Amino acid sequence: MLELRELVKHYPAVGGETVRAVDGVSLKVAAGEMVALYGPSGSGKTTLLLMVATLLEPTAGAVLIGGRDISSLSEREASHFRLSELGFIRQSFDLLPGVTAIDNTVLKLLKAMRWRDAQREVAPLLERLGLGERLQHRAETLSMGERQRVMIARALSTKPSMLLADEPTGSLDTQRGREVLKLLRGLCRERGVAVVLVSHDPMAAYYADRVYGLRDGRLSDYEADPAYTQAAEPVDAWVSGRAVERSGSPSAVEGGQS
Amino acid sequence: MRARWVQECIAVVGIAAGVALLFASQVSSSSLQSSVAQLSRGIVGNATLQLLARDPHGFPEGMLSLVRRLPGVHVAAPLLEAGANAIGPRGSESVELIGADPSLSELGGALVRHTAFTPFGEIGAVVLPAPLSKTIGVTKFGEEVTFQLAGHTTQAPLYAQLHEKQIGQLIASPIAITQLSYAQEMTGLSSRVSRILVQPASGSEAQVRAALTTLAGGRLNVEPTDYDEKLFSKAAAASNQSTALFSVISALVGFLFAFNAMLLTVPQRRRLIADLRRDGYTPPTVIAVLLLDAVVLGLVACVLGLALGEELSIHLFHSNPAFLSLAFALGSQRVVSLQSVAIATGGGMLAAIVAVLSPLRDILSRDPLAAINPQDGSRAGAGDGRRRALAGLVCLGAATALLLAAPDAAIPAMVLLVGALLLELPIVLSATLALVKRLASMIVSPIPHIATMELSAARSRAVAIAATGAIAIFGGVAIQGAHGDLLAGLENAARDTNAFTDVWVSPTGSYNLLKTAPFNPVERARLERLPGV
Repeated sequence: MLELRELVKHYPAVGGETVRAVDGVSLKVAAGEMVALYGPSGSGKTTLLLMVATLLEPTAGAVLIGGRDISSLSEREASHFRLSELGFIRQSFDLLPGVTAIDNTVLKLLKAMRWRDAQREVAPLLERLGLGERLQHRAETLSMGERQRVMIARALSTKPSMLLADEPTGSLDTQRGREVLKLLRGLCRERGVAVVLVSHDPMAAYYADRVYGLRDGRLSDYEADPAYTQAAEPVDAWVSGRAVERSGSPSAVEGGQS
Repeated sequence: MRARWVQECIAVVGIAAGVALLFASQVSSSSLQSSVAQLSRGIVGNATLQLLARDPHGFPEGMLSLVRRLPGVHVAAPLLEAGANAIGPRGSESVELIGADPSLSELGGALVRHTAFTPFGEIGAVVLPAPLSKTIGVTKFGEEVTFQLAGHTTQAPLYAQLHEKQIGQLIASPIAITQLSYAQEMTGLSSRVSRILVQPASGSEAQVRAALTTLAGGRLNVEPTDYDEKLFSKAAAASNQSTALFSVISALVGFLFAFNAMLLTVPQRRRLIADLRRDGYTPPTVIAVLLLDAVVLGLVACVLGLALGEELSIHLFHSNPAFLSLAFALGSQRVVSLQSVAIATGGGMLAAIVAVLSPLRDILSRDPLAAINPQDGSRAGAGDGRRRALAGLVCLGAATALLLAAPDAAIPAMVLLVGALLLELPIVLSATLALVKRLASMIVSPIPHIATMELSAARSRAVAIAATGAIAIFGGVAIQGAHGDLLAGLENAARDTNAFTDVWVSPTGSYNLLKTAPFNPVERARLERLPGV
């Protein structure tokens, strides 16, 4: 699905030096797979995501989606790619204040369909995310966890094949962060969406299929923190719950209103 | 827009205030001009030339037959006009007494198109526009109107009222119409007329003009019939310019006020822009979204502004300048032209668009996240600052050169000066902040440090607030200066006038206090016979 080939991003720095934000990263992510990149601030995580999202031009290397190199798309093609094939969840939940949860979700769909149709389209997704009772609530009345779920719904609203998540739990407490990660993982598996998640939160690692460390712009092996191994447990329970649901049992999606 | 409705409302109020002031001043100016133009055109009809007296005593009526005999003259109609006070039981009004004969009807002017002069001519009476009749309380046939004119008082019965269906928009004109011979009797200007209107036959205008010039012999003026309009236009220039100056300054302050309010919304708008770009919307789509924002805000503001401007133009801007009322018959009609609406609405929409599209450069940037990426902006800022400062100096130089070359071009020069002020303001602000920072380093107090940091952080807003204040002060000084010049001019004129005489005798009625009106020969002779004169 996604392939990064020797991806490089260098920035000129003060004094004529060069900052190697991303330095030769190669990675493959399959459809329905969730890959977490773990690293401290300044390790190049966000830069890497921005290049995958065609929001930043790589200095060298290639980003291939389904075999197509998207790093050399024109601005118009890149915009179309971001609109129709990509979902992007970021750390800050800048929902439009004064606007309802459902209207905040339909933004990407309005390019191709009417407002009412778009609302009908995203309502089931918001219900799946536990926001069925909050559709008409304005953004500022939602909790942080609910806002993040609205962002997830917006990112998934166009049924993208690729989802990028930049510190999706950065502004949430542990409990809500865990809920969001579970939802993300479950929905992406169900929809066959390839996910690249970057975080400096060790907990995020336990919800991914594969985890890599990122330090000084280079990928490295990730060493699990034993303190978070317990976090894997509810995920496994949740994943098995989803498996039950697929065979006809009631939905076991967790993460109701927080 | 729902996200920032308080700020958007403040912006709407600011733009509406600007639109209202622009609209009211436009209506005020165009109403004055139109009032004179309508009356003039209503009287002259198809006449294109006129033989005009050079003083209020007019010229002999005998000229009329000479004019009529000129080759190429199709219609020649005599007029005697005099300023007067019309007084009735309910009040008095300044009017233009117009004496005409039936030939005026042949010119087809709106004033006489549906009014016949012959029936009442024989009995010596006047006709008045219905609103004027009502104001002074003389509305019935035969009721007497007292006229103060030419240094004496005379009574004339009312023959009829003129209604809107007869004279259209002239209904608001302050006029009293009577037969030529009766006007001559009322003014004491027996067998004299103040002008002869001439309609040349088709293709004979040049020939008739030449013949009239010869006939005038340098004692009378030959002018086109729109002479009064042009004269008024010149006379009203000072008044219109001061009104325009006030309005432009007020509108600028209003628009800057709106801009300040909009700046409060800029961070949110920038986030929205970045969101939309990140979600795959192209720059044209983002611009279209913001333009629609601007159009909605602008439309609401313009509708409010026009409504407010309408009220202002009725209650605040609708008094006719006294010095113009002395020389011209100014009606009370308000003329709302399409141009007035267009100028005010255009100004309002432009302000809304400029305010909403302030992050345009970021939208058009190749970096989709430029709207929330401050690094590039700060680098570009230094170069922009130098360019702005240079442009400000150019504006200042251009304003100085313009005023030296054409002192009348006050408004364009003022616009250039305001431009220079706005362009130089960021540098002045930076220098002031640097000075405050330096002074603050000498004292132990968090206040100056935090204040300078806050102002530096919200630089655009600080500049906009400073600009609003600066323009308000600039406008205040400019208007005060113009006011002072006007007062000084009037004082000098009064001093010069008083230097020639010890005592002024003027005809009765406050209207004629300053106007040069011909005295009735009998009254004049009595004055001359007074001991010591």
